[in-house]
Amino acid sequence: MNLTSCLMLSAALFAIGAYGLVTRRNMIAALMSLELMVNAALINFVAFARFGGGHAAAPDPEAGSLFALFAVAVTAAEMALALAIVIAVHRQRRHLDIRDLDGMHG
Amino acid sequence: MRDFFFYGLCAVLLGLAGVTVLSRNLFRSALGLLGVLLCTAVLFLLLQAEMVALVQVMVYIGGIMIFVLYAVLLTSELGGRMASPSPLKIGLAVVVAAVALGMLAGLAKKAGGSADRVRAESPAGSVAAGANIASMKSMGERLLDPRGFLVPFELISVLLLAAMVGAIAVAREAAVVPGAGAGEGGGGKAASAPGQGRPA
Amino acid sequence: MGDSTVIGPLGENMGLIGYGILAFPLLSFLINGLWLGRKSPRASAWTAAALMGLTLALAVLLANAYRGIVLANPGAFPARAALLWEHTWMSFGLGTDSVLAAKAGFLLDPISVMMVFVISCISFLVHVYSIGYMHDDKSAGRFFPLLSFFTFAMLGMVVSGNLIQTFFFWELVGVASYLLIGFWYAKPSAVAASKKAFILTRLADAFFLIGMLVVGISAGGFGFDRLNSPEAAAALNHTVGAGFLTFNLLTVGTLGIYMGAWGKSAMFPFHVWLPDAMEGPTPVSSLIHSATMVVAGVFLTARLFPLFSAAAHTLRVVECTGAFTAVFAAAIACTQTDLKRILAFSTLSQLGLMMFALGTGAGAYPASMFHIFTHAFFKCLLFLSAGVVIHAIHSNDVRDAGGMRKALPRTYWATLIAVLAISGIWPFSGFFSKEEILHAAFASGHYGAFLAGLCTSGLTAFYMSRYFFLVFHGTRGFHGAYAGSAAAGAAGHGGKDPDAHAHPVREGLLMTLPILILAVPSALIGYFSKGFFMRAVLPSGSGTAEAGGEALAHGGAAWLPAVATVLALTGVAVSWYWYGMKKNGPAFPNGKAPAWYRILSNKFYIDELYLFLAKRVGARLVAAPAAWVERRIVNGAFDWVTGAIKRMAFVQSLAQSGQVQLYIAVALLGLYLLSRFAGLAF
Repeated sequence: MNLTSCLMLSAALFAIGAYGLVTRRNMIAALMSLELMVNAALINFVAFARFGGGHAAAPDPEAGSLFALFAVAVTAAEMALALAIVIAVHRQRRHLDIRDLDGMHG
Repeated sequence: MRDFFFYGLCAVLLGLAGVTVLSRNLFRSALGLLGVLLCTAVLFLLLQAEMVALVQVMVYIGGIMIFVLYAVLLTSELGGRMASPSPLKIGLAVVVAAVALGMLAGLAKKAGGSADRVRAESPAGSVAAGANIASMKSMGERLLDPRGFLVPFELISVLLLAAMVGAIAVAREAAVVPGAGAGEGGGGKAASAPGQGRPA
Repeated sequence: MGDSTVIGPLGENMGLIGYGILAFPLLSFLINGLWLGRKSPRASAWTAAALMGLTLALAVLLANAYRGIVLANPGAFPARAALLWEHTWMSFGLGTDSVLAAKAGFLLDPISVMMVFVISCISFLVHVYSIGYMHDDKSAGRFFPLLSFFTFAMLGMVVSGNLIQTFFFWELVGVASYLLIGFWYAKPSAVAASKKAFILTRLADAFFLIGMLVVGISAGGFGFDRLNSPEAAAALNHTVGAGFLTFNLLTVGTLGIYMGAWGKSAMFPFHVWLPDAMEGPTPVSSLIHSATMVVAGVFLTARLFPLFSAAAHTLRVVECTGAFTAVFAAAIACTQTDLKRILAFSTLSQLGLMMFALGTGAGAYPASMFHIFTHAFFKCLLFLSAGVVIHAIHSNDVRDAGGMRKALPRTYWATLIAVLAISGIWPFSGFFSKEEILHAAFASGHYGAFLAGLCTSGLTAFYMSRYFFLVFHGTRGFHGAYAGSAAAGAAGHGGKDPDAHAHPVREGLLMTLPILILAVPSALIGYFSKGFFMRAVLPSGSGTAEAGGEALAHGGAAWLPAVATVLALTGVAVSWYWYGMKKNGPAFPNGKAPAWYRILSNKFYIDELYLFLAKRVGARLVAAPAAWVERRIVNGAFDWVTGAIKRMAFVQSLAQSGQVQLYIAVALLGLYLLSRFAGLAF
């Protein structure tokens, strides 16, 4: 278990999340894929905090962990808003198909 | 032993992630995500970041995931199966995923490789003995230290408050429109609210 | 705006006078045009007149100062010219002295000071007259700002010290005349006339622009001091070849500039716009014909006279067009029946006189300027009095007039003075200036032009007295008594007010006062200012001053005034015989006018010729193929390009599908590419 293996895990998780984000039609499912990607980022933070980047001589483990905590808080805020939007969309349209939400088309 | 556990955990985590993005059943997919988050928390414990692991369990699993499950239950039937994506989209997604994986793996190799080499070459004990481990006490002190992370900590609270207010504003029914007549209740029966959201 | 130069002993106050002369008419335009004209036409009329009065006062001050400072110091001002101030507006190149520098200045020299005085004087009187004339017109609030603007443009043109400023104001004059000729825009004929005037003069101005650029760039500057120097002429005087065509730059450049003057002064064959310009209100016609628009052409030719005189061919063209127009227009004027058209053709003929005088050489230069000066007063008077008559009889037709002597006594006497002046009867002003022109033409050996001038003065006396007798003598209204000009009469008929009824004829004070004032200079100014013109108004440049002096010594042609006077009196007598005594023109056998009369009254069918050329030849041979090319090739190419752009945009818009997932995919791929470029990924 070292930094490289942790980063590889996070890369795989990110890729899976990206796959889900592109393929999923249901808005909630897409959001869950997004959560996977955020989770990959969290793993990175913690891994770097634990093993240090290229500067093992001057580690700052608190900073890395706190960064992860802040990221969790920001994700919480993001999810709250995203799910509120999901509820609003569902109320208006009776479905959550992302392909139908193309109000930005050119 | 520890490595073995780590790789097993990785396998479970990625498998559950696969369930999350592939399952046709939205509820099962949510349970998959729940599993992924739990595995991540365990991984954080392995990485000796107890605080993050705790927060992961409390905030993510206890808060966000419950919220997601509510949203799932509110908006879809439990047994419903989602339509499978079109082959074109799957192809695009595979390309995107492969490219992302390649990019991140490359970066991981570059960044992780050098760091691991430094660790391996440094004399044992100088770094190993808990120097890199954040105790909950020291994290708390850093968090409340004005020269540390006090300002972002307070700002996060403002962000959360704003997100909360915004979420309520977005999700509530069109009660602000006088005479719209939509009462309190779940999203299911309030479809007639006209002032809600953007006009199509 | 950069450097302001106040030259020599001309003090700061002189500069202020110069600014004021330009600022007051502009101020009148802005105040009345933007605000007062809408609120109260009456107030706007008085404001405009008052501001023009101030301008006139400043012009008098300026002329006085000019005489006291510049003319009194021939040592300090050898060319009798001084630049009051000059600002560099735009400079394309290094420094303010570069070739392509657009400057705005105020040039003082004999002709600009003379013109400033004439313009502000005439314009002031016309403004006062217009208060009465436009009294009942609902759109008077629109009239006065335009009139002031017209004056401003003309003033800016005559004081300009370089060709660029001249061109600028030249075009403003054109625009102002367009707006004023088409002032009654509800009348289709007025709109047509304004378009005709504008398009014809614009056509000529295109040549002006080309000539100006050729001359300015080759001579290394647009300032008149540089253009009129012998070095400029020498620099220009070389031949350039383009294939088998070769040009002398001097000839081409000056001819181009002269084309502008040609159109503006309505020389043949550009003359067709001027008679039609009578569709505008009479005060406008008066201003156009005496001080502003048409004089601009002669003025420009005079302004660049030293340069022109270096180009023999151009001078020859000037002489020929002038002489031909003089006779041609005078002949047409003999048969017209529209009050204002008679005067319009008389203006053409007089402009021809001035123009050919310039063409005959430096000796006639003072005479030509002198004629502009005198002509401005009596022609303005004639138009203003014609306006009074038209106001009184509600018709433009001389055959509806007649016997106006009793009804309009003051106008009668003033018009008499003007008619005598334009006919060249001693001692009225026209006699002196016309005689000078004839003298100069004869002395310089241009006998053709000289004969044309003699001919013109005889014809002028004839048609002007015909006009006079028809309008003021005899009895009222014998319309249609002779058949020859019935067609022309019908075309020019239908004057100002269709529901003309016999209401009592009266002379308003505001309208007669300017006429009476103008009668004074019409009568006397020739005698009193002749010396000034012969002495001081000479073309700038060193060598030409003696040539001007030479023309003064024309002792050999003492018989000339006598011949001219006899000719004029003959014209008057013939006209008296036909129109004063018999009152219905020459008697033609079996009541039908002979061919020559019809040709004359139809103005040599030039308009018809133009219509034929434009409609048949132009439309079929030029416009139709051009339209085909335009539609198929030019538009086709543009349609193809726009179509291609549309199709490309459509393809692009496919990417903007609004599908968030596609955006995410693209964003991730873009991130990958970025990291590739940064060397961070495979």
